[in-house]
Amino acid sequence: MSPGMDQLDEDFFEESFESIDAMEAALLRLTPGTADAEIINTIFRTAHSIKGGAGMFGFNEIASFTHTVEALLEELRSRRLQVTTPMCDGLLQSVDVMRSMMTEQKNHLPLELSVAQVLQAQFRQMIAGEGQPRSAGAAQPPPAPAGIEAGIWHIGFQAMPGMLARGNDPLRIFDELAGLGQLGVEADCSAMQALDAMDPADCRITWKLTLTTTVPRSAIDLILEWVEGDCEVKIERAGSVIGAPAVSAAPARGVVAAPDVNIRVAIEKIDELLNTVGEIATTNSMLAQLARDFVGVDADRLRSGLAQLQRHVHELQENVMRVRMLPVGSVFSRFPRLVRDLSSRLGKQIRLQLSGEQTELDKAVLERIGDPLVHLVRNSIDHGIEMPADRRAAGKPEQGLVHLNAFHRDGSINIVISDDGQGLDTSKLIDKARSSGLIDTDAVLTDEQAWELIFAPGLSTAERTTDLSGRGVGMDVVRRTIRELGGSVELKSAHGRGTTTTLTLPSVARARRR
Amino acid sequence: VSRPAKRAAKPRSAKAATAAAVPAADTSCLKLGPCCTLRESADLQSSLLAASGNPLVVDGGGVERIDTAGLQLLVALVRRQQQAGRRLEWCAASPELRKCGERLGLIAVLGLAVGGEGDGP
Repeated sequence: MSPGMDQLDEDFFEESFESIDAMEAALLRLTPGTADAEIINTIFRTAHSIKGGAGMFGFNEIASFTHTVEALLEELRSRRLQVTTPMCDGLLQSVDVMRSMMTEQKNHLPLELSVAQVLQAQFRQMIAGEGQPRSAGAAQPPPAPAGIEAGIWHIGFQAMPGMLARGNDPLRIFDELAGLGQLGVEADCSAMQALDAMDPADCRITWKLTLTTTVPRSAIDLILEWVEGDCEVKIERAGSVIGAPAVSAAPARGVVAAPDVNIRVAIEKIDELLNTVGEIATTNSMLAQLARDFVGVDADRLRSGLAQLQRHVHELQENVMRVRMLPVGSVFSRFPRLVRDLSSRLGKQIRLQLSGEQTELDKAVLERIGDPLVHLVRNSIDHGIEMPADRRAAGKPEQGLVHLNAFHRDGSINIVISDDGQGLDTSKLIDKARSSGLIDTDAVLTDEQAWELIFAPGLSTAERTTDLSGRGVGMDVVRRTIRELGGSVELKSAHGRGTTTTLTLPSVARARRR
Repeated sequence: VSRPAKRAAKPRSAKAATAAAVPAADTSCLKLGPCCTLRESADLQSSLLAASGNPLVVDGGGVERIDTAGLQLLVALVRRQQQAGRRLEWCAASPELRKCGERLGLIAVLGLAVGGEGDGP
């Protein structure tokens, strides 16, 4: 039977959020004034699939908004428009809008459309070319390659299981193909199942399409590319409308679905598995205990068998835990955008360096370290890195550096957030701590003790007065969260040279005990 | 349900049309909802499974949205009727239903003649 609609919705949202993240990451690589076709194509395809999915699920507002975004991207893709800074900003904002619309839709909340409407109007103006530099030769449509005559293409189309559920409907693909010329459609329903045995999400109809068009093969490929992996497509050139009869058939391109090396598994299933393995381990220990005093002919064999079982169970436990591990890059990926937005808002120049993104952490830990990391990175941008003029005066390059690094050390996972900013002024910190009664007025503190003050609730609040860091998460909360995960936070700073915060997180085994 | 005038000339069709107007014991009517997409496919499948009759008169005049999943279910319904030796008649088909059916090349198999009101297979 078909998967429940709730599950389909769930999958749709999960995949859409992933697409939105991918679109954002690609947009951040887009440089104004350049025309990197590969990046633009990636963004375009992502927007297209979000639109398709949203339309398919009846989320018309999202589909309509994404349609406008896609229209603007089409202008970039066809080089009729050039990438500009306002365009990049607008497109990045559109990602935020899509994300929040998607969240609202998911939570059955009314959609907030005001920003979307403003952006849509902006994009339409851009498409109309108001105040935008048009690319050279934009007035004329791209010239048709000389000597191209109307070709006849035979396209065999077979949906793969899951195609419909992923929001890719053959109907839409055929509509797009029909936009290229004249499309003849012949359906073969012989493989369809009976009504009572049918899974509606599994499309068993296959098609033979005949497309007569003057556009080159690449235009057909482009449309089918969007559903690559979701269907099997065989394209053959059958001939031309005018000129010589059949050109010898071009090698057919079988869009063979890439072998699926990953599967999506609900975390609960893994946890159930882990719990069962835990139970087996407990039972195993109990039996080993019993067997210790066992007397008999086969007692030794029993004990050695149990010891062997214990090793295997332990191995199994570790392997199951490893399934829950995800690369820390999934959390790091939100920082390029954050750094870009904050630094431009503050007028600072900041380069973000990410390393060790492949370092794996338990999913539960990853989900909880996001906010603390955001807080630490914001601190670095807001309080650490100086204004360009101040940096120049201090003999530093105008562009500051924020570095996020993850790595394994001594069986733990370390995440280090460092910057080359102004560092902590320990004397100022001590003064503040004295005046707020955190320490005695005559107390003498080492640097290490002074740095510790930053984690005191009262003081950290007093330190953060800008809107950037005022998110209700102070350094005290950062430390508490990390401690709850069984880890620790350590901060080191050199006045004028920067601050380094190290999060030490436990290995998987303990990490799971949230 | 408006009766196509041409049917009056054909005794068999006239009987069927009369049957639709004054339902005989084995005639039954099925009205499709406005949305017949994958989203509604479970409900659509159940209602198609529950529909029976000879002829089974299907009213697709109110269909506003339909996709491949919805059309595939309708094809399965048509085939079930055929295999059971029963008739299926369309008393109405919305432009959207026709347009999508045509795009997927399913007009003939659904028994929806292009243009006018389709007859049953």
